[in-house]
Amino acid sequence: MLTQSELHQLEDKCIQECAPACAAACPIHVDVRTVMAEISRGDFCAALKGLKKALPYPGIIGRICPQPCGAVCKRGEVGDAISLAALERACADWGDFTETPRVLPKRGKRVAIVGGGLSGLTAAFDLARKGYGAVIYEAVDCLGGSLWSFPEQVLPPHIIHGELAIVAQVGVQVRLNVPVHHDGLAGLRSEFDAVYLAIGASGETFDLALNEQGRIYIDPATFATSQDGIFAGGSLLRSVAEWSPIQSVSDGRRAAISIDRYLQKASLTASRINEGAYLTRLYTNTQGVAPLPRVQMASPAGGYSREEASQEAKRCLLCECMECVKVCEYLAHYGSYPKKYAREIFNNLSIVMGARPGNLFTNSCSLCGLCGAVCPTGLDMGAVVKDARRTMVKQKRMPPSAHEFALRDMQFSNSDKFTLTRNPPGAARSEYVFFPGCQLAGSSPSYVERVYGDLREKLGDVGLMLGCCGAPADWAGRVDLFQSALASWQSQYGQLGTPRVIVACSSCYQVFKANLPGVDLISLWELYDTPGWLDTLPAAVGGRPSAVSVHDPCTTRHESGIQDSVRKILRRMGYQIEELPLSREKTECCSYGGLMWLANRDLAQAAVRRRIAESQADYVTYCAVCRDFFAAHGKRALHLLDLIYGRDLNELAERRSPGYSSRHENRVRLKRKLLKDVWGEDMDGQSSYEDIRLIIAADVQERLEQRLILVEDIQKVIEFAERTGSKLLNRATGRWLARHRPDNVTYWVEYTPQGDAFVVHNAYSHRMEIVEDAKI
Amino acid sequence: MNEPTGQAQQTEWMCVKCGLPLESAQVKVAYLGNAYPVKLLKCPKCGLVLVPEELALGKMVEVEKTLEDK
Amino acid sequence: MIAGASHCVYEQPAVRDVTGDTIRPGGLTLTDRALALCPLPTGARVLDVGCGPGATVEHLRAAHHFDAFGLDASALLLQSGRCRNAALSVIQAAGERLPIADKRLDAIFAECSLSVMADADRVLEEFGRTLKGDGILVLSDVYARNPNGVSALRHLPLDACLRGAMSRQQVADKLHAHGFHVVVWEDHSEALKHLAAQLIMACGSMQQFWQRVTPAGEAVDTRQAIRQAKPGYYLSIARKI
Repeated sequence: MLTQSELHQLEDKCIQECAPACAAACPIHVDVRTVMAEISRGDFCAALKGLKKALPYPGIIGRICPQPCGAVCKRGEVGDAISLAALERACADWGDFTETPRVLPKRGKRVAIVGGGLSGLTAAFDLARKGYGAVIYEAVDCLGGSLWSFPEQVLPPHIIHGELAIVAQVGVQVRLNVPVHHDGLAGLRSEFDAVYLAIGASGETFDLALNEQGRIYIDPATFATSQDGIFAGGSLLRSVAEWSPIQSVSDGRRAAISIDRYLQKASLTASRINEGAYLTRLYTNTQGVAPLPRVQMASPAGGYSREEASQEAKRCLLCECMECVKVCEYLAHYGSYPKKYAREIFNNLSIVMGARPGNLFTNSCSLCGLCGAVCPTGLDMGAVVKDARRTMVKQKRMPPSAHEFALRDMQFSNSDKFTLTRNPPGAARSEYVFFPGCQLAGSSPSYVERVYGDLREKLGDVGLMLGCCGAPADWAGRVDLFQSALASWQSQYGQLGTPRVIVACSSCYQVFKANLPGVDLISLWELYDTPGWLDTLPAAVGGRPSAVSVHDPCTTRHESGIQDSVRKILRRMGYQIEELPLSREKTECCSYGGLMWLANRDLAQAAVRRRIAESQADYVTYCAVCRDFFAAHGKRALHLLDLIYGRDLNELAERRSPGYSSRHENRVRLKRKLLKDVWGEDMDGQSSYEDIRLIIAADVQERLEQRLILVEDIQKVIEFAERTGSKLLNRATGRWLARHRPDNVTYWVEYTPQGDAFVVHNAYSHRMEIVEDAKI
Repeated sequence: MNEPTGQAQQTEWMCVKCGLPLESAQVKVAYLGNAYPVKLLKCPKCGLVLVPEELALGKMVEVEKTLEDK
Repeated sequence: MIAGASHCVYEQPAVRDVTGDTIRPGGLTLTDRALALCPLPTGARVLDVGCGPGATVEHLRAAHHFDAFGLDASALLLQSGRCRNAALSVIQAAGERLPIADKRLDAIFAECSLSVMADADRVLEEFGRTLKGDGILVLSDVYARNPNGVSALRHLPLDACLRGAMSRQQVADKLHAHGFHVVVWEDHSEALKHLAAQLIMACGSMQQFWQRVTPAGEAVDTRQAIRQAKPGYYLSIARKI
């Protein structure tokens, strides 16, 4: 299970909550995104209020800010950067927000600020609000400093006076016409508890230590000078060319933070990262965004009108990341993003007693890794979720019904009914072994026979192994079952003399590659891509689609070699490929992965419908389940083997997915047929219940599929009932009703005999047990 | 406690093995260590209890999910 | 007896039929657990606040030999208790104004009752007043495991413990503020799950239960608000400092 520190690392990887580029680059971190949204809605009052949280004088800055945000604005990649300063001015022009900012109660300490320019004003403003007595000493007869150097048309005097009134509103005292020179500093320092020097580019250095440029030296993180209790900032730190009003505001703010800490004897340096401008980690995709130019002002001197401002603000992309959420039905469904999800999962696992609402969330992920492939930092939610499932199992808190049906299916595939390990007839060892996997065998057993035959013809000593690789157990977090499936596979494999393993299923490929590094693997598709192979194979005759879209199974995500081979095969066969937008490394899962289809049926169906809507062309895939899931939702889908061995592609594209019971039956029959045809052996006898013959109407079959009830489950019930006589009769209908509980589920079957078979009318099941049931 | 709806009369159901009609009885159904009383039809001789489809697919499934935290 | 015209959930047959006379998750099992963790001497003066039909009072007297009595604001429930046992030591009173002198009680039990009272602070003040120094307060109740869901609960149109459920932090803060030192805090949300299962078995589904006990048309919103708050059940024992 994740530790707290590992959780924090994970949360940190998700950049969704990182500031947009503009806000990060802004030296005072205006919440641009929120303000833009408010302006687009025409709510200038809310926008002004939001702006004033960071910026006390938007009317001034809006007219003169050099806009460091503009250089990094993402809209600048698709059109012109947002005219943020002009919009700030528009807020001041059209918004109405005159609430006096909250001021904390007086703390009794006093700070002298030398210089009434932007830097000094901001420091004084912030310190006064924090409850300190702030006094500005200004050399001339009004506040504003270098603001007065701007032409009147750019920054009218009445704007300066009006905007700076806020400083007095919060209780800052001002001493005009009181210059302070180097001989006055000591006195000021003893009269006040701290001093902030913001005298601008006057050249006065107050006998303080200087830097290489001959300006007052300050610690860049704290703005402290060489003398205790004396801080400095603003344009006195910079050359004329470097002067920036917004930088001065930022210096003043940051110096105020330092002075506040200094006066409280707290650390001047702790947790001050990203206080000033920085480059954000947020990633925002601008692909597909239509470029838009800046909105023009009808009257530049008057700034943006309300309507113009609204239009300009609407150009803002409202930057965020959400790359993974954009491509994943699961991540989108729960309405949040990985940073929050990781914490949800962690919290859910930490609940020791009581209900765990996060269980379904943890069991709904397909573990496909698409998020990791598109995430700018590579955060793979699937890895987090899989680990969480293992923890749930370890804590004995995994809901039994989440994965049981799939685990039983795996158990069946690894039972005597299906497993087989053989060298080719007459050979003592195998050079290759073909492992088709349980799903291809369950869905298209005849192709397994054909492929095996062709492999033997082309490669010689090819053995055969039938079984399940254990992927369902791995996905369910059942480390115990997974390890034992792998161990069992390995011991059987060992009997064949460690041949190269030819794998048809990419899930098996992924499992073996990750867990059995010593085994030499090759994908069936890479073999079929061998030059000359396909020429000798028949190609399908009827119903060839003109163009196809390739669906790469999610477990081939990092196997570009296999993906290439499949495409080369298709081209060699003369098919035109229309690539899906999300393919190869970015392919989507059909919902089989992670047992999503079983744990969260509704979400899985939404995922399939999303995938099949992405192209009108027929889909070609090379995983039996992907193909079947798409076809089950009405999408024309073909398996690569259909194109190689099939006859009527039209029919094959629309073939319905075989039901769960059929899959079991197909596997058993495949083993029996291969044993007989290839090795001349007869399979062991069937269990008694397999002799029970059933007659099931189509609508009843449909119901059984929905309810995850297999034919063999029904056979077991009827066999039990007939053998023991334990059954009920409904006198009104004349039908029998019997029940049997082989494992954790009780199955009820309503049936009537017909000749030597039984007609099945209905079946249902439940997990709850009757306490004090019949003695049989 | 609650009569299972959908079962019209008790005498409609018979236990084939014992040849007797089922009778209404108080039984307990349990899951994950929690038991709940319910009135169901039961054979008076061998004790075979009928769980009707409506109960299995209705209340039982919801209780199973609630207790499993699904 | 008046049928469920009130929206007072714990008075409704739909609930009482299921829980029996201890109208709360956990029943007497939790009461006994509390006493196992914090035993009291024979003859201890014990008050059960929100005693309902008085099953706990009887149990405290009969099984533990305490000098126990109970009070409840609901005349309906008290009457049903007296119908069963005319000599039941219960009176009608509100938790906000206990008709008991200062420092008289060795212990107070408030099981699934604090959350249905209008003014929790007032009630806790009364508890503090009437308990002897070192006296214990046994609280078991619904709580909201998602603190952000608490405000939505307050607007539920029902008179039920869920509406008044607080977060764990809120409970701890209030106890602390009223001069109590928390000795035990245990989560017993399993009991709530079990009660939910019982209600499903009784009413057919949770949906149908909420339809029965909420005003017409508000069942769905009620359910949403409750889900969001992630209700659990706790047992806490606090000592009067």
